[in-house]
Amino acid sequence: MVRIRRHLLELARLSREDIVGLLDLADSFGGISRRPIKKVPTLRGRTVVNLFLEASTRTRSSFELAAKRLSADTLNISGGSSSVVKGETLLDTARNLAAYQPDIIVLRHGSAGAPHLLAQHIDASIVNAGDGLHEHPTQGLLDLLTIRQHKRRIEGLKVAIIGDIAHSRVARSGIVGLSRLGAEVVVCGPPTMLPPGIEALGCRATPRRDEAVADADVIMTLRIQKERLAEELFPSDREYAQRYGLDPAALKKAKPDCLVMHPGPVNRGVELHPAVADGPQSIILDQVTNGLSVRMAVLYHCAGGGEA
Amino acid sequence: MGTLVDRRQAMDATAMRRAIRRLAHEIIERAPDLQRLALVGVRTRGVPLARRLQALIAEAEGVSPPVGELDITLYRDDVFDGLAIPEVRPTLLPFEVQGRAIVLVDDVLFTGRTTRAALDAVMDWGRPEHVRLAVLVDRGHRELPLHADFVGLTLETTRDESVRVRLVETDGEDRVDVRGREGAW
Amino acid sequence: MGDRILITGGRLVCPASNLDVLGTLEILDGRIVGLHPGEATPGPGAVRLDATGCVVAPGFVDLHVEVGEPGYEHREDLQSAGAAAARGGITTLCAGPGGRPPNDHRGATEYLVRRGREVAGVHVRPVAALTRGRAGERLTDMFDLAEGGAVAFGDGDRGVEDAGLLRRALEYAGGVGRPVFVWPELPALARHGVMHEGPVATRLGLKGVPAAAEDAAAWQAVVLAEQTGARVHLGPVSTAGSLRALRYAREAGLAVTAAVGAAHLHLTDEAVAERYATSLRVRPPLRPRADVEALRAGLAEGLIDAVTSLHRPQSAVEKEVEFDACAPGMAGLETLLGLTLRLVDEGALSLSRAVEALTAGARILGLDAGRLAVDAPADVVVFDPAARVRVEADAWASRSSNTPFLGQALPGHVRWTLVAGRVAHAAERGEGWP
Repeated sequence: MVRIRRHLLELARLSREDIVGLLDLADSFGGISRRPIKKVPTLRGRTVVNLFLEASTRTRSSFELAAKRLSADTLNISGGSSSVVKGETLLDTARNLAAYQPDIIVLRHGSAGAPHLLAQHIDASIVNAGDGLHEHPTQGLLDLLTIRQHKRRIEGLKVAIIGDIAHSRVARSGIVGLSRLGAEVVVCGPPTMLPPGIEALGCRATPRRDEAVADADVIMTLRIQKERLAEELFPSDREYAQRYGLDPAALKKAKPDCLVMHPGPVNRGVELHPAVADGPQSIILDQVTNGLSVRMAVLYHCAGGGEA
Repeated sequence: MGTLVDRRQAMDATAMRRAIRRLAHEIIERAPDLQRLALVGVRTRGVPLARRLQALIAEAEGVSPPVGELDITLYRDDVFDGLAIPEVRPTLLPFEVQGRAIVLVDDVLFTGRTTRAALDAVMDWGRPEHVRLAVLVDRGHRELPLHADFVGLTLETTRDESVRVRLVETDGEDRVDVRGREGAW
Repeated sequence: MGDRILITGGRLVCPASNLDVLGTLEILDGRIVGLHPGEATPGPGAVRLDATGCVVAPGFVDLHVEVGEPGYEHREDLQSAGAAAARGGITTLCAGPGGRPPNDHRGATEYLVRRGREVAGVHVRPVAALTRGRAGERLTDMFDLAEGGAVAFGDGDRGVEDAGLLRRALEYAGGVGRPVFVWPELPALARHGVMHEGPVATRLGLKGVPAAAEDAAAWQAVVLAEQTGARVHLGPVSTAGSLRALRYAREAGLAVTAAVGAAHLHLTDEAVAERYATSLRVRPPLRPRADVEALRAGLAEGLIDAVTSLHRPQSAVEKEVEFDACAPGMAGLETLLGLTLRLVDEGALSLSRAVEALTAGARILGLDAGRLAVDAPADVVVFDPAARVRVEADAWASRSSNTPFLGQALPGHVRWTLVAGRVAHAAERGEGWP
């Protein structure tokens, strides 16, 4: 008997129907968090390992709480991700964990494709919680869910994603998910941050902020990592804030009911002006709430493997 | 295994109407305080049954108890059998569960596992004064120590038969059939 | 020794001698002593290898091979590399300088030559480092290294950062009379990259090496070859841009040669997308389809002289890790012939051109090898081009099996490999075998 494992490795492998199914599921899980007893017994007796080999507080907390609200047992492992530094390879670490017979391993890792490696070698469902610059599928789903809740649709919306597209897994999952659901996606950043061929994921690319923002229904800003200064991807955060940051003046060029999103944590005054981050169009905290629902839905989905 | 075929009709529309009316009166009789009564239908067919009971109670007593809708998917013990993803629909309980006299309403009582899951689900919303169970059909073969407080019809069945309830609201007609495998009589 | 070997009934193919004829090859004392078209009469006591249906060709010369020794014997050593080469029809392998310690001093060169003679079973020709420690700063003692047996100089897979140094190196090597192997990649443009920069790398979230890193280095080497008149070998090339530089060099009559990795003629960067297979992390990186097509055309035309295995064995420890953490390289000695013949099957290359590309290393290095002619050394391969051989790690002589071709059936079955008249590999025993 071969156990069929369901994984969530990347949104790129999901069909439109798969994505909508997960969003619907997440919507129904949203209710659980508004109840007096915020817990259901669905995954009682199941084990979820959160293997976070790259610093992350938000995503790990969100996955942990999601697992707990479904009554799963959780085990959290954190550490540095470099195989060389640790002296133990990722596969060795994962095989050791697999000896505990976990049902799901949630992996955050600095290398693109690390979840795919585990999925090939480890007998557990693998959930990608962010792999290098590749994808962050649950972030992509929670962004979709948040937009859908506010706009009642995804199809036909103009969504601008502004920031360091080249070094953003959030951008990649966002582009893939949004375009698959029929949104018009425009990515924007200085040309050093627009990777070649990004259009193939389903978007347009422009280095001009105002063009990206014009008539947008949604603007997603990305966190700027100051380490990129060393790689000469942008000359200074002052110039970045002026040309690519989202301030009230730039936001005025979007549709009046345009939503402002950010995966967090925000560099206030760099990619987002404080007045915009805290303004009425910001739905950043809804993203956090929806992150929990989405991760419950994903854990539920992945635990549902059967035997074949 | 053969396909499922109707073997006998257990209830027609008239019999069902009478059974539900009787259930409504039994619920009224045993309710200590109609103001605290709430009906909770177990999805799918428990919900329209609960609404019918609500209307009958309102007609008789002038008090319309609130109706909740319960989805027990997340509480089932067989949720992961097979690869299909079960549909999870919202649970709607538009009242405080705390201190209520709850009547769970379902169409068929069989092994008791659904009722067990429904009890767990209700408890997660608060601490009711008590919970009673009303079912349209009790077909026996319990696997858990549970019983229904209000029963529309007690039906003799064999373990491998199935009982199909059809309601106007969900299926376009009111009737109950006992079904079995073709040729497996 | 002393035995006369007759290889009968085969198709003798030697582009260097303009030979393509059915006939018998006669070998005595390590040399070819006769080429007999048609049916020849074997003399008494001769070992006779029946090559009916087979191609009889000069043994292949592989310009870019990491032999693992010294320093990386868990991946490969001269014995296993030699056995793998012989199994692949390769009779001369050029051992790269990237051992631990690197081959940047005469002792290391002589070690490779001596050890190769003892255990490899095929000719081992060292390519010594161009700069000390392959650090790109100070030149090695090239006269000394050449006397020790170095056939060329190069820093292996390290591009030379300093154009001024490269110029001096080319000038100096010219005086030594050896070609310089230039790895066409500008380090400053290739930094952090783990695959070809383009839409696939963008989609996968992997850092890319732009084609420009190679194009610019190729042009730089060609321009400096023109400036210095030195013999420059670009190896391996992987981009259409390199081919433009090569065409310029050809038209200008420069002494510039080039090689291409056999796998790079088949695989594209798209293959990485399937599951981040670390066997596909190679240097230079796999390129898009348009580059692969250009490489095939360039090889057919002769703009690229040679095809090479780019043999770079890695153990499972080095490959069963994250894509960006894995060691680059593909084991290739035992797929070189198959991948080259696949091009023939696909109509991209004639058989004669395929054999020429597999033996061009002899001409590039000025070695007495790579031809079927009376008095030439009896480095000979006999292969059945119609037979298919499945790539299986268990059957491999190489110590490493890091290849994406596992499980595939490749054309070309090497039946015998002779090195200086000795049988280095035999798929079966010949008639009259001692």
